[in-house]
Amino acid sequence: MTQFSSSSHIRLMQPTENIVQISVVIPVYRGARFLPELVKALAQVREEWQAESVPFALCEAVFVDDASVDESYDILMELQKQHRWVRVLQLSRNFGQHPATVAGILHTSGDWVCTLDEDLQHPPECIHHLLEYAIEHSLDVAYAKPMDPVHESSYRDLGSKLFKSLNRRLTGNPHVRRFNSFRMIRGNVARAAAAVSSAETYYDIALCWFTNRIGRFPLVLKDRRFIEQNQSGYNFFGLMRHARRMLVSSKINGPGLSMAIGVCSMLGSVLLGLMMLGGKLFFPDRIAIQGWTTLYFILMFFGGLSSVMLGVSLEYILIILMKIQGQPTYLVIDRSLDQPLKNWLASRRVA
Amino acid sequence: MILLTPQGGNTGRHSLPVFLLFGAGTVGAAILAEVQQFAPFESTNLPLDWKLSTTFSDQLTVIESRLDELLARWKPDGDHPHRLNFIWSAGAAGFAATEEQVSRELILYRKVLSSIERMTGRYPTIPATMVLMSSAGGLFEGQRGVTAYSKPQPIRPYSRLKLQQEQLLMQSSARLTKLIYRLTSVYGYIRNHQRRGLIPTLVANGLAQRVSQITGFSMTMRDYIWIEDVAKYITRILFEDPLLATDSVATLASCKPSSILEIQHVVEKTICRPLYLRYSPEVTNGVTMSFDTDVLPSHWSPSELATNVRKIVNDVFTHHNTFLATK
Repeated sequence: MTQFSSSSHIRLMQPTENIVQISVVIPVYRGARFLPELVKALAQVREEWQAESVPFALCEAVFVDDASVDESYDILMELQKQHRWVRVLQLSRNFGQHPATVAGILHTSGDWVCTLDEDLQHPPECIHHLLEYAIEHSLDVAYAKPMDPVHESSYRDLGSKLFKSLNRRLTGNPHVRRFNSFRMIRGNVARAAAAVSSAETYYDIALCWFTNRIGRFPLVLKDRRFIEQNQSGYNFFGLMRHARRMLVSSKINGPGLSMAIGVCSMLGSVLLGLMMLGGKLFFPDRIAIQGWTTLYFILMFFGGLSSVMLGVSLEYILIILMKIQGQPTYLVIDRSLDQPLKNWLASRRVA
Repeated sequence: MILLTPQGGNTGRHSLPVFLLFGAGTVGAAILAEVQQFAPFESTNLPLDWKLSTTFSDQLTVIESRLDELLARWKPDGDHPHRLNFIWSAGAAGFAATEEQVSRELILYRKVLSSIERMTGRYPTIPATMVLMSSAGGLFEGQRGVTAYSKPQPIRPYSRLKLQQEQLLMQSSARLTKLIYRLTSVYGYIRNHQRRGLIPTLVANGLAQRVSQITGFSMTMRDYIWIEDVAKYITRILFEDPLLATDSVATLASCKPSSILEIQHVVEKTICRPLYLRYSPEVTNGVTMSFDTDVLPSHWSPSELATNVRKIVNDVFTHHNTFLATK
């Protein structure tokens, strides 16, 4: 409890209105050995920004310990004691990277939220590049775009690329290829997407429900943990779960295809039926075997009808699924805070 | 005003305090319930009419006399209550109160403080504590990342009232331990006679399928704390002597800001119905607020929003509240 004295009201440490506040969210799982270095790097970024008097500040770093099996939590608690801006959340069990990210984002209050991995593959000194890129291009989400293969492992990088490509084709979501866990998100969009995310929601898919203003900024990113030790926060099954989550959260194009095939089949059967009927009426001698056309027509028509009904049912299920996943009807957004930062960026370019 | 005295004859009652609770609204009623769960207390309602300032002083005199009578009955045993605990959780002036309403309330508050000074002055051997429920939302309105070092910046009459109340208590010559608790947005169960906050209102209107009017934006973030957490925490403090050693001011917050959109989603998921919301075009209360964990006192542990919303909904169905009937 704070002791009441006149000194408790002397120091003014609240954010000023003109400073854009950035919250950093870091899900942590088995990252104990990287955490001190990461916090040191974040502290350095904070100090540099303060020294340069830039109009943005790193107001908090929320670390979410996803029930790590190493001593990550103890280290984080120690770091929290040393740095007032470090906040630590501990999840009751291992929920996975996306739920941990969602939990962290829901504890932020910054104008922008930056998410990064704990293993230093996302350099904190590049946070401002993502922010500036987002502001300059009026984006709501700016992803880091790896300039080289992140894992330096052909099967891992190719696997990730192929799955994203497949998902993009299946769902028709052009942003899938941009997804990366090093992202700068407008605070309101980040928290709205986090608020509606359910246990099975892939957070980046949820972001796409709220905005189309999504871009990528090229950065050099390397997964040091994987490259140096061939270790990853994810094993094969973890990656499969990750991929499954992405697919389940997306609205795939299957029902539409099923309905299209069904309608074509039905129309085809009707056309074929009419042709056969014409043949029967005007050229009865040409029909060698009686009955097969009727059977063919019936199979085609009802097969098509089944396909249409299946497509409609799937569409209904997907609507319900999207509702459960939290897909919103709309979101009102205020981007007016960008203008002062845009002006500052413009003035810096001129200078 | 509610006077709480320990029950059960003389056995063990010397180890219990006497409570004088000013204001039995959402917070006061929860503290009252929590105190009565802690130990058996006899509750006496003493009239204190906040609308008639002329009779207000007389009513305070009656309260003082009742306390004198109570302590006189205690004295023949050579005993006295363990402590006198004064709790101020009253206030007719809400967030949108005018200067006039605030001035009136401040006059009444001064009178209560004078009365407390007289009461504690008459019994110098009995330790006393005064708990003032203040408003973090009022004092730090519009500030984000409020820390233990942030300065209150009242921007409306209600906020100035709260700050003045704090200052008056700290300047008071009364011989008592002064505890100030700055509460963020408190939410609790739905009670027909009590002022409701955003969350209970959304639950009530959602269940009754009525439209809720919101004087903010969907992205307005606030810090919400559960009433039972507050009541449990303060009751524990008031029953534990070591925690009452020094004057202190603390902010009770969850330190997890929630947007109206997030709350809407949690409530909708819990009641399994959509909420009908109407956002007011005259937004006077739409600024975001958030608090840093360093403002929190030790032993304070806020509970989860989603769990508490479920408690509110369960309570509605358990108590068969009549508000569910739609017209």
